[in-house]
Amino acid sequence: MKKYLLIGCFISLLMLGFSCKNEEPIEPDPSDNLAIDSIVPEKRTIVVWEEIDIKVYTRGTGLSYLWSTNHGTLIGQDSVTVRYWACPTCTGLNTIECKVSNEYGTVSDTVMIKVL
Amino acid sequence: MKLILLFILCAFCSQQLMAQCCSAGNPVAGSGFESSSAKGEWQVSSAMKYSLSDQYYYHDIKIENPYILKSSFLYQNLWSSYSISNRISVSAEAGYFYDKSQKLSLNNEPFKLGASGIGDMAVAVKVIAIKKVKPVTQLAFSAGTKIPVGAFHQSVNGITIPVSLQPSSGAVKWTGTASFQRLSANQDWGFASQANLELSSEINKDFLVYRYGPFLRTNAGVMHRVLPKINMSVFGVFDWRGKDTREFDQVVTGTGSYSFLIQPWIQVAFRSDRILFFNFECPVYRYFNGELLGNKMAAQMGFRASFNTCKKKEHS
Repeated sequence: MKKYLLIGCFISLLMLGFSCKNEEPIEPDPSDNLAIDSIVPEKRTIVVWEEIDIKVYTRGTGLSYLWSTNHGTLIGQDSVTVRYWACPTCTGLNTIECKVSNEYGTVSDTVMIKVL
Repeated sequence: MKLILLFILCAFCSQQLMAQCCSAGNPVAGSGFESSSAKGEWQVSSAMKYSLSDQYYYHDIKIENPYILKSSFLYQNLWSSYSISNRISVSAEAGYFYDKSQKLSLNNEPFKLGASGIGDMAVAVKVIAIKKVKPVTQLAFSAGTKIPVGAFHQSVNGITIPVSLQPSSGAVKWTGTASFQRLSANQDWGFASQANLELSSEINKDFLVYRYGPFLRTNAGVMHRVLPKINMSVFGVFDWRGKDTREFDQVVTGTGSYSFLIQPWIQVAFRSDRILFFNFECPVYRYFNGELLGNKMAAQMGFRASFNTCKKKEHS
């Protein structure tokens, strides 16, 4: 009986030890404060005047967005989605950039759309 | 004589404010004929221009476009010139777009996209090569540059406005102008002609690599004094615009055009050095290398005044 009691105490101490380790604070990944995971266009090749939606997937809080393109027109749909279309003088491989900012700084990413 | 001269000068100066519907930057600026070049003379003018475009063209044929309903701008410039000598003057011009926008149709619902802000700044030097008094005859050359000091990254609700709707062109440009004018002996009639060439540097900023095509404007017109303080003039204008290029010197599809315009003018002189002017712009024919929005009309009204600092000093 005494033997079983000692083993029980030993296991309890081990469990207590492991549980103390689990209570240590987990350091968050810095990219959780501000990051762009991806920019996803509906299509990567379109024809003139065709409209597509482009969505940005981000991490972080209090984010503000700034979209821009070198050729074509962007119209805001909601905070993370824009609509893109291109006129006849915008044919070629065009770049769409999204800058995301909050208190931690600014990050940006791009996606290329080919306009035929 | 000075009154007649100013009429013509005024006409020339204001013609420089012409525009194409959807090009970035100031409505075509330039240099030349800003001053009668009496030493020590300051000239100041301000003009407001409205331009409307609502028709798409493929080459010279009207085509339907369900996406862009209209494109327009309202622009005001401030121009100033100082004559260093009787033959040399320097000038500067800046302007502000109160509204430069397009009305779009998205999912059959109208949507306005545009911006406002300061345009490019233009500076020029003019040299009068030939100057005769009887009959009044003048041949002048000028050279200048346009500096993109204005707004080029305007955004609305987190979306950057397209380059074509930005108030500034974003590119440094160089201009050269040759101009000629001659009045009849009784100064009731006058003839004037001008050629203006504009070359653009390459924009290379962020992801935008772009060079506007060369632009040439030539015009010729006659002026007639209908009343002692009112004159009317008509100018024929020919515009040629070369092809734009983007990265790796790729030609931008569809760019490049030429057009013929008629410009009727009315100028009213309250005094010999205070002139009010009106102008209307009517495109007669245009040809685009591709599918582009063409200008429908433009109207302009402005005021011009001149002061001679040397004369004041002499009087005092």
